[in-house]
Formats: sequence, structure tokens, C-alpha cells
Amino acid sequence: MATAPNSDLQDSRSGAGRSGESDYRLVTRIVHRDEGAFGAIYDRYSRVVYSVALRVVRDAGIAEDILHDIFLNLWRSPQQFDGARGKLAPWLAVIARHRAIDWIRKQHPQEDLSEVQLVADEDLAGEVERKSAIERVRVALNALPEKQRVALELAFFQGLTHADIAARAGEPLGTIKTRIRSALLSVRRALER
Amino acid sequence: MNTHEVSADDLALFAMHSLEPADVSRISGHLGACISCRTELQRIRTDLAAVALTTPEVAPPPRARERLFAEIGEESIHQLGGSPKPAAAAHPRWWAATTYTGALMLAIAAGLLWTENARLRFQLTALRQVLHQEQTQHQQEQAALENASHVLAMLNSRSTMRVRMAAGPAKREPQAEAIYSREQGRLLLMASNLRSLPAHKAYQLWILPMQGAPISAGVLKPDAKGSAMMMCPQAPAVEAKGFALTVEPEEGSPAPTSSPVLVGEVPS
Repeated sequence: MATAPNSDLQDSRSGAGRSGESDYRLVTRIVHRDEGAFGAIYDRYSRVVYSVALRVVRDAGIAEDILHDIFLNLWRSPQQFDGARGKLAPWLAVIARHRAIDWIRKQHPQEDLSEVQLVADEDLAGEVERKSAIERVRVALNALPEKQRVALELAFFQGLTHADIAARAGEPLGTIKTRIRSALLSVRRALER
Repeated sequence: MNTHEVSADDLALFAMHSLEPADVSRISGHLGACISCRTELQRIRTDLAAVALTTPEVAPPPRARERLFAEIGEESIHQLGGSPKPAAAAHPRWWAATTYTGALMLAIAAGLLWTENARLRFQLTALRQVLHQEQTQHQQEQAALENASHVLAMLNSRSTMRVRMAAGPAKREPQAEAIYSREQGRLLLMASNLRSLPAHKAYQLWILPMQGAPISAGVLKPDAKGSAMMMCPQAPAVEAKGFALTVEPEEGSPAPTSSPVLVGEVPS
């Protein structure tokens, strides 16, 4: 009867970076102000957050600030972070991109973290599955028609509005919208494959 | 979803924060009322996350980790009400050194206390869970014990009547014994060799009062061997002339709908 809670206690004393401990469990421990669990999450996902931010802002110092703010937010309000299976890595990647775009536009964060909801995708859950899925997406992106790929790159990683992209390309707004959407559908198909 | 006022194209741009403010408020308003668009938006965000994750990974500098942990450590100490900021100047240097050393020791002590506090709180939560489980189990055991003592008291009571119900003399024929205490308002049925029933059917036990219609005492389903035992802890206190068992829908019937499979009369 008492074995399950005892093992919980033992877990809390053991190294939080132990491989295999789920994101959900680590985030739960962060709610209880467990710095070891926080360190484990940082070690697991700081590269994702930093890399995405760096790709957008193209400045190591600013990317570091964005990384700092996101993880500080995780420490202060862990309940905003969805640690459910398959969600934390993609969620952090999206948040990093949004915060970086906000910085480019010199804007305050446009939405609460808790409002940014994703579906749980098993392909993005574990490290091995995620690598495989991301490789499929990378291949799909490389195979996109040039104009679709550029439209997505400008909108997503450079933060241009579709109006900006349309003006830059000298093409109608609807065409740009359709290109971005078509590119995203190719990504979805690659994920579902 | 694409047939109504918000297109999937717009949702993709909305998810990327690439729309003009007027479009953002229009779509935000629509999302509040449209589940399919909210679901599609979540899906698009996941697609976008996959795009973001294609970024080649670069490790942040180690100082980023040190800076972060220094800040959360400081926050933790402040939350504990520790180390006030040192007062400005006006003290001799030796006094300042003493003050800073004291503050540092206080900060370390506060940090240690905070860690210990967090560990103890976690333990407390776990112990509460154990306590709750034990209380639940204790309550279940207590209820089972009470039930058993009621059965025993009823079986030992002189006023308890035992009525055997049978369809015939053969050994393998269905048979049951109803043990009923009007005083205690309890009725126990022990049956054996009951025929298996089709799905959605069950046996229903009836008290046959001296006057009036049969009164249901509950439904039961036999095990694979045809045995069944049922305790009715709140049986109606009536003067019974007999008991009967019928086949009814598994949820029970308000009145018997079939001929009794077993029936027994209280000996006069």
C-alpha cells in the first residue's frame, strides 16, 4: 500500500536529470519548487529555445535574453507550461519563436503563455521520435516549391506580415496566404506520414 | 470549418501573429465560439512547432545557465523574506564588512532553510496521500466488518426465519435460501445451481407480504457455477408469507414480469 508514495520521495531526492523522467513529472516537481527538476528541463530544452530564438533575432546576446526570460517564466509560473506527453518541446519552440518575433517588432508579448495550446503529437514526444519526425519535416520543407518555402520562412522566422510579403513579392495577398497555408499542409503531411 | 467566416489561411497567419490588428480581433472573436477553428488552430501551432524544431540546434553559452540559476536562487531567498538590501554608506568599513558577512550568512541560511522547507513540503504531500489511502482502506474494512457482524447477528437471532426455495428434489436443481429478519430489516439470500441468464437479464428477489403486491429486495446475477449470495441491508419490515425469485431485466422491475423460478413460503 505505501510503496507508491515512498518511491515518489526517493525520486525527489535522486538526480532530476535522470534520463527517462517525463516532462510532465518534472514540471510537476517544478510546481513544488524543485530546482533539480528545473535544471533537468533546462538541460533538455534550452538548446531548442536558444536555437529558435537565435534563428529569428540573429543575435546571440538577445537570444540568450529570450532563453532567460522563457525559463524564468517557467520557474515562476510552471502551471502555464503544458508538460503533457509530446507537448513541451514543440510548445517551447513556438513560444521561443513568438518571443523572438515580439522582440523584432519591439512589442510586448502578444498573448498569455497559457493561451498557446498545441495538440499532443506522439511524433514529437520522445527524443528519438521527435528527431525522426523533424527529419521528415526538414525533407518536406526542402522539397517545397521555392515560393512557398520563402513565404513560410519570411512569415515564420522573419516575422513579416502577409501584407509585407505580398508587397515585397509584388503579388496579391491571397496568393501569399495560400502559399503559406500550402507549405504548412506539406509539413502536416510529413508529420502524419 | 473553411466554409465559414474564418479561412484556414487566416488561421495559419493568426497562429504566426502575421495578421493586421483588425483581422486579429475578428478571428479572436470567432475562435471564442467555434470549437472546430480552435482545434484547427492548435493543429496549425503544432505544424509550426515542427517547422521551428527543424532549426539546427545550437547550445546556449554556459553562463546563460549560471545567470538563470543565480536569479532564481535570489528570488527564492527574497520570497523567504531574507536578505534585505544593505543600507547605503554612513557606516565604517569594518561595520560594513560585518554587515555583508552577516547578510551572506543569512542568505545562505535562508537558502538552506528554503531547500529543507521544499523537501519537507514534498514529504508532507506524500504522507498525506498515504494517510488518505489508509483512511479509505480502514473505512472499507470497517464497513465490511459491520456488514459481517450484522449477518452474524441475524443468523444467530431466534426470530430470524429461514426459508428454502426449490423447484424440485433433484440435487442439481436451482435452490435458494432466504434468511429474513423483520426486526433488523435485513434479508440474506443464498442460492445455488441457478441457470445462467441471457445478457441484460438478472434474477430478482421478491418478498411476498401477507397483504399487497410483491416487494422487490434487489437483483442478483449468479457466478459461473450458478451460485449467488445477496444481502439486502434495508429490507422492508413486513410480515412476509414467502419469497420468490424471478427473471427480470438486469436493472430490475417494479413488479414481477415472469413466473417465479423459485418460490418459498414461510412455514406457518
